[in-house]
Amino acid sequence: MLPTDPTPALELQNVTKRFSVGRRGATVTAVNDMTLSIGRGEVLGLVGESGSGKSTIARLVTRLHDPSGGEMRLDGREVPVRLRGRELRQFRRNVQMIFQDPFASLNPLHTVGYTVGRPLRIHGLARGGDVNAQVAALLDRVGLTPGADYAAKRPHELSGGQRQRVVIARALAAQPTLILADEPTSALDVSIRLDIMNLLLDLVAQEGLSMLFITHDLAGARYMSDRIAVMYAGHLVEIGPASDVIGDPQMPYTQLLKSAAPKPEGNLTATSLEARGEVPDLANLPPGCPFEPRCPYARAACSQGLPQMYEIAPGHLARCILHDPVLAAQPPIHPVIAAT
Amino acid sequence: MNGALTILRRSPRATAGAVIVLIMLLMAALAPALTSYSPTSQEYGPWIIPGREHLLGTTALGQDVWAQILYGARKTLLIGLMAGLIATLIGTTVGLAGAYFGGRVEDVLNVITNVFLVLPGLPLLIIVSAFVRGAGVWSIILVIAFTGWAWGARVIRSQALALRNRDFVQAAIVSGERPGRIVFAEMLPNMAGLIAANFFSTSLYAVLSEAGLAFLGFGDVSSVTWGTMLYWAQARGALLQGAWWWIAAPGLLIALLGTAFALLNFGIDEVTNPKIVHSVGATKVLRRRKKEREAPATTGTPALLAIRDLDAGYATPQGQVRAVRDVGLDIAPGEFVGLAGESGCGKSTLAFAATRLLDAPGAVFGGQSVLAGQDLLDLSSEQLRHVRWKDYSMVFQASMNILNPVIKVREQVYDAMQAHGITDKAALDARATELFRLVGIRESYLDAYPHQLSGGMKQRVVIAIALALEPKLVVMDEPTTALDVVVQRQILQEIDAVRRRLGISILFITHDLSLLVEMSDRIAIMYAGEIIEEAPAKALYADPKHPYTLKMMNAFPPLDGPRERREGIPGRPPPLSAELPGCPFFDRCPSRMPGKCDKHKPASVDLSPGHRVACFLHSDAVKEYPDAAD
Repeated sequence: MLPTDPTPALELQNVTKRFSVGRRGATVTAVNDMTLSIGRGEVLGLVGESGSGKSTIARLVTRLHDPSGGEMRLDGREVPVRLRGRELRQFRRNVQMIFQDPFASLNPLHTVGYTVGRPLRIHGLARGGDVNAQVAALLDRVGLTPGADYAAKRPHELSGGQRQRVVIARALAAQPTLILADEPTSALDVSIRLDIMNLLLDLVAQEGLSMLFITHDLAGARYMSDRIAVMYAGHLVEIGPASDVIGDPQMPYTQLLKSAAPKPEGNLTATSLEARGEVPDLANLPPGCPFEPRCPYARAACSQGLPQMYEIAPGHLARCILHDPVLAAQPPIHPVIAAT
Repeated sequence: MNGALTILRRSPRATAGAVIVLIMLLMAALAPALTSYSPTSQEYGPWIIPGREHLLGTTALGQDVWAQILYGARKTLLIGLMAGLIATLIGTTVGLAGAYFGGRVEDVLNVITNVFLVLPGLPLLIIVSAFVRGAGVWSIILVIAFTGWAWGARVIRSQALALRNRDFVQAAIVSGERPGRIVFAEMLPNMAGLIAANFFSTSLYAVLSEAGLAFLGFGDVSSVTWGTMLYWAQARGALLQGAWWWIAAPGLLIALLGTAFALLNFGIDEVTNPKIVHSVGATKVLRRRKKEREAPATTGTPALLAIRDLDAGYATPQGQVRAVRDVGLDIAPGEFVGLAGESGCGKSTLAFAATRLLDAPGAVFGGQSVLAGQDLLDLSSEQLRHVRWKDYSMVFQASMNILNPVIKVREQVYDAMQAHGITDKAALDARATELFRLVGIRESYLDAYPHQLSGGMKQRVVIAIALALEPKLVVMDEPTTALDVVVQRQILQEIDAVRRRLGISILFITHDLSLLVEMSDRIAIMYAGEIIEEAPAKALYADPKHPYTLKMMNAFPPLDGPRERREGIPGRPPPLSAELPGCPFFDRCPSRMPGKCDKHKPASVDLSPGHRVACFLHSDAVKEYPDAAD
C-alpha cells in the first residue's frame, strides 16, 4: 500500500544521537543525521547489522532515549526534543514498540490480562469490567483465541510465538498510529516467523497503522516492507521501494548484505562476497564514507567527506559517489579487496 | 506468598531455617506457658545446676535460666527481626531510588551508601549506643538498622540497575507507566527473593550485633535478652564458678538463631539463583541396546561417525524426556552433514549425546555412536579425554565465551595441543600461526586478549582451536547464529575451505535450512526427536518429500521472485515428554490421514539412493519397535 495522505506518520529530520562513553567526555554517534519518513499505512523496513544504529532509531522515536539533535514530527506535529511527564505519556500512546525477545519483554510475574490491560488503564481507554472485555478482544485480534482464557495465563505458560502475540496485543492496546517493531521475529522459531509477520501485515492493512520494521534479514524486510532503508555505522546509506533496494541495490554495502544472505539455490563456495572485514568501531569512524575501508569500489573522493544521497530513480536514493559521474571516473583505490 | 512456599518446598535448608525460627517464635510467644518462673525474679538461689527444679539451672543472682531464655527470646527476636526489617526498608528504598532516578540522585545516594559501607560496623555501634545508653530496646534496634542497611542498598541497587534495562521494564515505560508503578509493579516483585535474603542477613547481623553490644555492656543491660544474659554471665564470672549452663544456653541459642537466618538466606539464594551443576565426567549411559537394526542412509563409503538407534534425553522430576528418539545418522569421511530443526526438536541433544557431552540431568538411554570403529558410548572418561580434540572436536554458539578473558589468545590456542603432548615451543607457534591463517585472522591477534577481538574473531579463534589437532570430525552447533550475516558468511566460507583442504567431516546444526542447503552435502531434518527426512542437500531442496520439510522450506521468504503471501506452520511441536503412537507432525500436517498417521508411526524408507523419509504419503511401511526389554 502506498501512502495516500500527504502528511507522513513519522518524519525524522537530521536526527542525531550521541552517547557518551567513558569518563573523558568522549562520545560515539550511534545515529548520524538521519532523515527519513514513514507514510500513513506504510511499512518502512530498516535494515542493518548490529551496531548500525537501527535499534537506536526505535528507542529515539519511543523516547526511551532523547535525541541529541534534529527534528521529529509525528502525524505532522512537531515533537519537542525533551518530553517529560504528561506530555510524554500522551505522546507514547501514539507510538508503541514491539521488542525482539518475547521471553524478555513480558514481566514473568504478571498475567497476560494485566500486561495487555495496563495501556488501556493508563491512557483511560477503558474502565472497570470493560478492561477485561477489551483485553479479550485484543487477544482475539492477535490470534490468541479465546482471548479470555489467555488473559489468565502467565508468560511461562505460553510458547515464544504466543508471547510475541501478547506483546503485539499490548502495543495495540494503546491504539497507536505508529508501531516500531524491533526484530520482532528473530528470537522466534523459523516455523512461526511468517505467522507473526503476516499478523503484523494484517494489522497494518486493517487498522491503518504505520510501521517501522527493524531487521537484519533482507528477505524478511522485503517480505514486510513497502520501502526499505539501509543503515551502516549510524548513517542512512540507501533508501527506496523494497523491490528496488533488494532487487537492484545501489550502495556497495547493500550489495554486500545481499551477497551474504543465504541462497538455497546458490553454492557457498561459488558466491563471492562483495567485500570483507567487519563494521567499523563507532568511536573510530573513517573520515568520509563509513564503508570506504571495506569497499572494493572506493575512490579517493570517498574519504574526503561523507558522500551525499544521490537519487537514482524516483524515491530510490543511495549514499555513494559511484552515482556522481565526475567522482566515479576516479580510479578505484583498493580494488584488491574484491579479489581476496 | 506462593514464592515463599516454593522456596520451602524446594530447599531443605530454608525449611530447616524456618522451622528453627518458628520454634523460637513459639518459645517467645508461649513463654508464660512454658515456665512458671519469672525471668527477673531473684528468689531461686544462686548457682543451682540444671535439673528437675530448674531446667537450665539458675544464675549467680538466683534467676531461672530457662525462664530468662524464654522471655529473652522475645526481645532478641524483636531486635533481630525489627532491625532487619528497618535496615531492609532503608536499603531497598535507597537502592531502588538510586537505580531508578540515576544522575545526581544516584551520585549522592552512592556516596552516602559507600560512607556507611566503609564505616566499621561494631565500633560505630559502640559509639552510637554509648550516646543512647539505657534508652531501651527501640534505640538499639534503630542503631543497628542505621549501621546495617548499606550493604543491602548496594546489592539492591545493582539488581535494580540490571532490571531497569530489561525489556519488560522498557516495555512498561513505552506503555506510558508512571515511575511509581514501574518501580513497585514491575521491578520490585522481581526482586522479592533478593530483598528477603537481604532481610535475613541483616536480621542475622542484628542478632549478633545486639549480643556483641550487650556483652560489652552497651545498650540496656537491665532488660533480659540472650545478649544481656551473656553479659551478666561474664560479669559474674560464670565460667570461673563452673556455671557453664549460664553461658552455654544463650550462647548456643544465638548461634542457632544465626544459623537459622543463614539457612533461610542460603535457601532463597539456592532457589532464586539456580546454579548449573557441571558434571566433570562424561555423559551417563544408562542402558545399552546392542541389537543391530536398519542401517540409515549412507553414501556408499563406510561411515566415519555412525549413530545407531540413539535414545537420549533428560531425567526430570516429571519423568524421562526423550529428546532424541531412536535416531540413526551416518557421516562419511570428508562429508558436510547438516542437521536442521526447530528449537526443542532435539538436534542439540543429539549432537551432545553422540559426543558424550550431555551434562546431567541429560543421559543416553540407548544406542551407539561409533566414531572410526570405536563406540564413544563405551568409553570411560579417561579414554574419552584422549579422543576429544584429537579425533573429534566441537564448536557451539556460545563457544566464544569459553575464551578466558585474562589469558592471551596464543596460550589458549596452545592449550589443547599441549594437553595432547605437543610441547615444543616452535611447533606450537608454527601450528598456531597456521591455524589462524586457516580461519582468516591475522596472526598478530595471537598476542591479543579476547576482549580486544570482535565476536566474529573470537568465534574464529574457537574454530581454530577445534581444528588444532586436525580431528576427523568437527561438530558445530549453531556456530555462527549470534553473528551478523556478513561475518557469518565469511566464517562459513572459511570452514568450508578448511574442511575441503583437510578432508574433515562436519556435523553442522542450525535452524536455518536455507543456509544448510547451500552448505551441506547431505541434510537431515529433525522433528520432535526423530529424523523424519534425510537426503542429499540439492535433492532435498529440489524435491522435499516430508510435508514438514516442505513447510520449512517455504518458511523463508525469498530474496527474489514475486512478493506473495506465505504461510508459516500452524501450531507447535508436541512436548518431548509425550509418547505418541503415530507421526509427531500429525497435528500440524496439511496432508494428514486421520486413522493412519495418528495411529501408526511411519518407518523411514529409502525413496531413492540416499533420500529417505518417514511419511505414509510415500510408503505404507510402519515402524517396528524393538523389544525395549532385551
